[in-house]
Amino acid sequence: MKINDKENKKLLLANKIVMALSIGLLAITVFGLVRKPLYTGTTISSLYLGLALMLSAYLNQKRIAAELEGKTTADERSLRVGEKSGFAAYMVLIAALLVSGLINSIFNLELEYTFTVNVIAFASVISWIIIGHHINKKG
Amino acid sequence: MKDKIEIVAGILIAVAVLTTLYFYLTSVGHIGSGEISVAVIALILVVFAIYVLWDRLKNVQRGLPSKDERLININHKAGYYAFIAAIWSAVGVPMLSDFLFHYELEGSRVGSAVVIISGFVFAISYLYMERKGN
Repeated sequence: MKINDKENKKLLLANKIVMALSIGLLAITVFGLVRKPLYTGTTISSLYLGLALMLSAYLNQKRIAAELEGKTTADERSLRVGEKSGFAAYMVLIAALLVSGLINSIFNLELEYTFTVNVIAFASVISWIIIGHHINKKG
Repeated sequence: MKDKIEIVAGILIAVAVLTTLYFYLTSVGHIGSGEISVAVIALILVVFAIYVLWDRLKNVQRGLPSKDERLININHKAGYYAFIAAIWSAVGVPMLSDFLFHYELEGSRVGSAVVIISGFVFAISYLYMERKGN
């Protein structure tokens, strides 16, 4: 679907706002590293969120540029692959959270849970990409 | 047969959640607003799961597959939205807590928030798409 100029300008503006937001979040990460006391959860989260927003803004920029040239960037199949792999990754995320919580309380592992949640969230994003790639290849 | 196994497994999970909730509430001692809100949220999610299971059970009783192609697609789409909500809540909730209350949230509370927020997003988007169409 080719987007019209008016909509395109709105998307570009939104993309610039997202880019500014991501830079702000990365600045918060740097600030978080030097302030006392160190809030590890917030620092990791702002780094994670900032990088994710920056990547998303970059990919959007590429998509808008491609659509302006009349190319189709996302067909029905690739949308379905994204949804299916997202569903599977969601199940992985919830199962990992539940299992890690149970194991932590049963065996008294005293896991640093702030880190654990971030690691699980990051791992599920990676699993989303891998499952998506697998479904894409498999058909 | 596979459909029936899925439904029975779903019912067992719902019963397990309710049992865990019962043990949680009886072991807490003093039941405050925090415990009540956790219980209410868990009950809402269990009611949603029971509704989905009941809907599938009706299909099986009619001799139909428990879920058709449309419901499978809705399931995937709702799961995808819930996944996005889970990721953003995992990074957003600790940040909001820090900026608004200057308090670093414990990881276990972040984990609970992720499960509850994504569960709600899944339930709402599933019901919305089921009513509206894919």
